[in-house]
Amino acid sequence: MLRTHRLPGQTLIELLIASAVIVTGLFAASSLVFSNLQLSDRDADEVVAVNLAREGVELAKQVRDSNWLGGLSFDQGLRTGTDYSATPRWNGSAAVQSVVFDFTANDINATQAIVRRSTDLATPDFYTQSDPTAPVTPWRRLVIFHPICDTAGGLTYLNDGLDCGADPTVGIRVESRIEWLRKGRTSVRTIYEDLFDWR
Amino acid sequence: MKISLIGGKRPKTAPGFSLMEMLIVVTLFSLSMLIVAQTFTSFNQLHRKIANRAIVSQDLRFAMELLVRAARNRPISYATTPAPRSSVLYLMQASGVEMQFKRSVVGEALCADLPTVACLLLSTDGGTTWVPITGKRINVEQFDVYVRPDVSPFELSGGAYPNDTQPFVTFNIRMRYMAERVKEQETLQSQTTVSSRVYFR
Repeated sequence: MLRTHRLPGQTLIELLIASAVIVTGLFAASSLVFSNLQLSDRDADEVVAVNLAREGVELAKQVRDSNWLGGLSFDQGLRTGTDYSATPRWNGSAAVQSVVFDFTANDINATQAIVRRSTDLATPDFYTQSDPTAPVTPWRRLVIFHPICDTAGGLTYLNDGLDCGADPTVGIRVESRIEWLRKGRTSVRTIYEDLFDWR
Repeated sequence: MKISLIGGKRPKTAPGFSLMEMLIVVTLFSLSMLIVAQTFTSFNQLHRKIANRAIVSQDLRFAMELLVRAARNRPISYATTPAPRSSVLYLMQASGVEMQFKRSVVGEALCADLPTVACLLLSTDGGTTWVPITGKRINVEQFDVYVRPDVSPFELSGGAYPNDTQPFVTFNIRMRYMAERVKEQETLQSQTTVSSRVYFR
């Protein structure tokens, strides 16, 4: 069929421009939605991460307070020599009545740092680092007990391998670090709390 | 324009669209509308999921903070020996009356919510009256409380303290936002521990 050249219509350029405008609009809208989804994922992860990090600090505090009750040195069980990096051994089991820290892990990539989720019927879905048979989660946790030394120049915070020496150890800076992997991206959250031997 | 009313052949120069052109245009238009409608629907669904997740996350955060604060500042009640894993937390208030947190049964009237929802309840009068502390449509699927030690370290027994363990409580909570469509429901689970700040010895 023949059509006259005088017929009105859109040129190719007009069509291309219109398509480009529509595609740009859709792309902008979709990127908004997907970034919203990503942020929402992150928000949900942060709730879990902060609670797990707090758990690390609270378990350390529990050990210090139990040391006080038992008349022991406040930092007993919160160091092994000059190794201050640890993972809590707490799995919710009825047999476990107090908290112990495991000093095997030296960094957050160690096997002991993996947070697992219990499948035991007595402790369903319990987040634990002391059950190597439980399924792994994306979370990793390492708790570091930096000794606080009372030196002539003020308080100093030590890392693994160092000791207060002749200076008194007056407290511990607990660093509870959580790391997790979500869609190929690693995130880290850390809570610090200073525990002093105030009793 | 000259229009033939008797079905005669159209002049070749007359403007207009053939049936084929119309069919193609209508098909393309329908397809593009279908794609746009699908995109709109899935974006809407995604938005609702995100909103529901925000609600469940906010509720979990609130409930966890309330529980942590309560267990941190009030002594654990050892009136009944705590089970290794319980769905009730018993604390003692300064007045000598227990404060309790528990997961309701599904559809409990106290929740004033959907019949499929179990909420988290708080009582400050020893379990006589209860109020829900979780929002509407929040189903508390799991509320596990692990209290240790199971015997108070502050009460003398036979002239000695039974243990030297500072009480601590672990909470493991899973909540689900009960959206009408299952696809839009969101679940969040979290766990934390709190060590008691009550020093009786």
